[in-house]
Amino acid sequence: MKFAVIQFPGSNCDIDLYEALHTVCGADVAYVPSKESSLDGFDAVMLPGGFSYGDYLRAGAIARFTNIMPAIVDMANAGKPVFGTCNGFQILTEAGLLPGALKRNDSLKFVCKTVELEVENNNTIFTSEYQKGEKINLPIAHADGSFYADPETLKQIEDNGQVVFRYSKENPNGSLNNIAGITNERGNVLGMMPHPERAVEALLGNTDGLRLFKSILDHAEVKA
Amino acid sequence: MMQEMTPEEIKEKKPYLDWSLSEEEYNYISEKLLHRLPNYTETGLFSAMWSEHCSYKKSKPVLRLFPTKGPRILQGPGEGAGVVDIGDGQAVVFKAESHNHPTAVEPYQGAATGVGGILRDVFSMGARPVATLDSLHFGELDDAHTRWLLNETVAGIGGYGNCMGIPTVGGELTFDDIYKGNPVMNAMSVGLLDVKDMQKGLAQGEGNAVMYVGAKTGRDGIHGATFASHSFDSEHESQRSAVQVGDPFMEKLLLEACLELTQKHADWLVGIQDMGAAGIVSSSSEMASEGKSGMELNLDLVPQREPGMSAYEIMLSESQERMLLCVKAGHEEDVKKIFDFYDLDAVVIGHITAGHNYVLRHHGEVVCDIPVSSLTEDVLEEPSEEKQPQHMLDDAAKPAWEPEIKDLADTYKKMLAQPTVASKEMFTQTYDSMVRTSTVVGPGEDSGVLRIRGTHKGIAMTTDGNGRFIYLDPEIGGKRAVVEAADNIIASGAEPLAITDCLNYGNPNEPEVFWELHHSVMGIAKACEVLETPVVSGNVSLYNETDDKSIYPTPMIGMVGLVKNLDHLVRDSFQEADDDLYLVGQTGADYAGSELQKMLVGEITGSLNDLDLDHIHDYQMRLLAEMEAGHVASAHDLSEGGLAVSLAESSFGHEIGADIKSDLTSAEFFSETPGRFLVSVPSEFSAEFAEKLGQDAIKLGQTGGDSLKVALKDQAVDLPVAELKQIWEEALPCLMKSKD
Repeated sequence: MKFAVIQFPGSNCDIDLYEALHTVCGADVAYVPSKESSLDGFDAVMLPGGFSYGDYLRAGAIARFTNIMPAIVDMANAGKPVFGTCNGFQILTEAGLLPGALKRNDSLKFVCKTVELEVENNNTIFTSEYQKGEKINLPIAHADGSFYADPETLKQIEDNGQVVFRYSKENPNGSLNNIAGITNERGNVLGMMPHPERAVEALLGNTDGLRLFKSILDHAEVKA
Repeated sequence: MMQEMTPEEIKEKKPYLDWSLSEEEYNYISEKLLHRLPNYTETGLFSAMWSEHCSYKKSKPVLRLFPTKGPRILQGPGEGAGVVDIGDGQAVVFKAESHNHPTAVEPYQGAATGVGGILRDVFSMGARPVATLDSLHFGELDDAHTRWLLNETVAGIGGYGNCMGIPTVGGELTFDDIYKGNPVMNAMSVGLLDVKDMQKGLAQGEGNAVMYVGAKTGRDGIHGATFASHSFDSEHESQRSAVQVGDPFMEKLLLEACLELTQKHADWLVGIQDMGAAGIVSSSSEMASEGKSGMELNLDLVPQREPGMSAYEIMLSESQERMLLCVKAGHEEDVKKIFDFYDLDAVVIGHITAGHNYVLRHHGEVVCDIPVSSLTEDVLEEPSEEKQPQHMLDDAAKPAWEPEIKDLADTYKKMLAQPTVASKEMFTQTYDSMVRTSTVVGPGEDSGVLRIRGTHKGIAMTTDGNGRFIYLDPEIGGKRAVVEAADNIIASGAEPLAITDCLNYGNPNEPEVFWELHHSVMGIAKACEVLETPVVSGNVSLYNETDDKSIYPTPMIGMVGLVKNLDHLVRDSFQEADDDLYLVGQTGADYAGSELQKMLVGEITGSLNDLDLDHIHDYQMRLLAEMEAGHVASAHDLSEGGLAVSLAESSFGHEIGADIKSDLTSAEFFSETPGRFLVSVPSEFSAEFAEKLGQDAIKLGQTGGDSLKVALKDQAVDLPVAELKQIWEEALPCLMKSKD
């Protein structure tokens, strides 16, 4: 299974995703600049955190127009795993691959800390290694992470079981229904504000994110 | 366009006086260096390059006192940043910079561009910046303007660093009324470099190209360097336009493009330098000077953001996110291709020429033709008068202040709520401290620690400055600043390697201020020699005064250390119950300038006790050896608030209490004698630890429980850790919310 880590201008957690997959999980992974237009040969695509295009205009709003986006949409439509964390999540909502939007945090400030999440749905290709209802801790680092969707969309997301992670102790940004991460209806596109790739090594104090990557890899093995 | 003055009009009307060039300097330039009158553009270039900010003409004689060499030092002061060998073909690259004046005026952009500038200094050496630290000294928080300044400054540091994706892993924040009109904002950047990729700010080789890369040039920040070499006064608000605006996205692109060039195609490059203070003129003339070359630039080719800019404006603009390269002839297009990928300008604006002249053309005319050295090397050093501050002599004649602690519990709680002591988490959590996933220890501990990928080593880093001590006694205070930094590095289990500094002082034309500068540098230099931490880079910020009131002399020491094996990294917090607790270092009656004095008396007075640097270094190294042997569970240095504060902070991390008995008095519990550590040692290593540290460690008791049981010579307390932690955590959020 080969992963693509997309590098938008201003991506800065690209190395974090790459190292989590390559060095920690031993997976096959390569960087793909957003100026490219093909994802041929890749089985999964990872959108990193950062400040694509400086977050100018609106986080993710410009990145969605980059050359690579049609290829990412094709991957999503083909049912391949598409994952976005932080700015990656913002880009996925801007591109319409995920419902809803990410607004400025309630505090109006950037916040970097570790928060507790509940795994709401472990029946996805991203979360099969977790238990349903399990509490995990993951870092967040964002200024625009307040998830919003209109009431109808929100109900659909909830009813379809698309909410994968929910903030379980404190809601750090004002997200509706404490939503921290959602999938598309089909379940092969996951966007989340927390950073699992920052929690994959004991040396850095937290390994709760590791099973997310292992889940994707497991899924590849089952399929193969 | 305004008609520029002729050389004769300049001589007569003396506009250079407003640009901080003295009449004596102007005459020296005309008569001795050029043997003619400089034109308008040339006069502007001289005034910027001869400013203290660029030339260090005031501080140079003093800066020569610093030790700058050592077996690990690959590059000392004079380049973009200092470079220190850490083995395995790698080096750590670091420098600090002050941005006090811009921050006082426009705090968000002032702080943001301070971070941006210091990052460029580091990546201009070919290194990838891996961490940022700050050092902030502000007025008291009962002032609404100060709270605004602080909020905006912190937002600016975070705004730039977060967007660049470089973690902010440490720093300091203190409060004192003396910084009200002139806050101190220093930023330090630390980078990693494969030694083979090291670059220099160098331009040579006739016919080689001078290339401009990065953002376009606008009218922002013109004369920023001279602005930073001036004092503020409330009458002259108009000076306050010289603040630049940062674009961290642009800098991220510039960083990646420059690193691609330096790491993969260094053979195309002769040299590279950041366009920092005094923009194109400083970078180009310094590079030519370093290469003993001549240089000719065509200013019409400089990418410009706005029309109608004069030569003077183009040369002195401090627009951000720009770099100057010297590229080998024939590789101009290759370089351009790299920058094209990042959608950045990369333009040949001139060439290296035979001879030693610095020639500028604009609209077909030669607007400058002067020897390179006249800008960079012939600067007149300014003799300074100095005089010991009167307050020192007055203080020496008075009896030392002896604190009286009536109610230990009450004093303890109040101490933990002092803004300088209290938790800074509300600010540090607005910094991304984890991006690039190498942060092992983030903000809030003695030093930040990053792992070095591909090794089991780490680098520890800290910034420290305590203006109160330097004010009371510059030389002893200078020594204490270095000892404090080394304590922080050692407390993490790292070996101190070298320092960078930011020297923040008042108006050096005041003899007392210059004396402070001179004597504090003597103290810093002495401590650096004994502790074997040479000075590899630095920055001077003078004229930090508002309405004739100088800040405390506030040198910031930024120190970097090496963790040889991350398995033996040591944290601040108690790790387990039933570990033995030791106090390392002797405790004396060190109350002058202490947090306790500020809290109880409201002002800082007294004389400092000198310190025995050799002795401190000796037991620091024995302590480090015990840490590297894996015998130490936690270590925290003692600083503001002394043992009392360190004990409390060590208990907060895992909410593990302690039970200690000591012959210290309750006053000594708060004493700030430098060179001390609170160390917890697992019982199986306790005997060996006690033997190795000998007289330099006193056993205090044990960790455990959920309260701090402290039995001192005269008083005892038993306070729940949770209660103390709450006081410590809530103090700053509460003060920041206050309405007035």
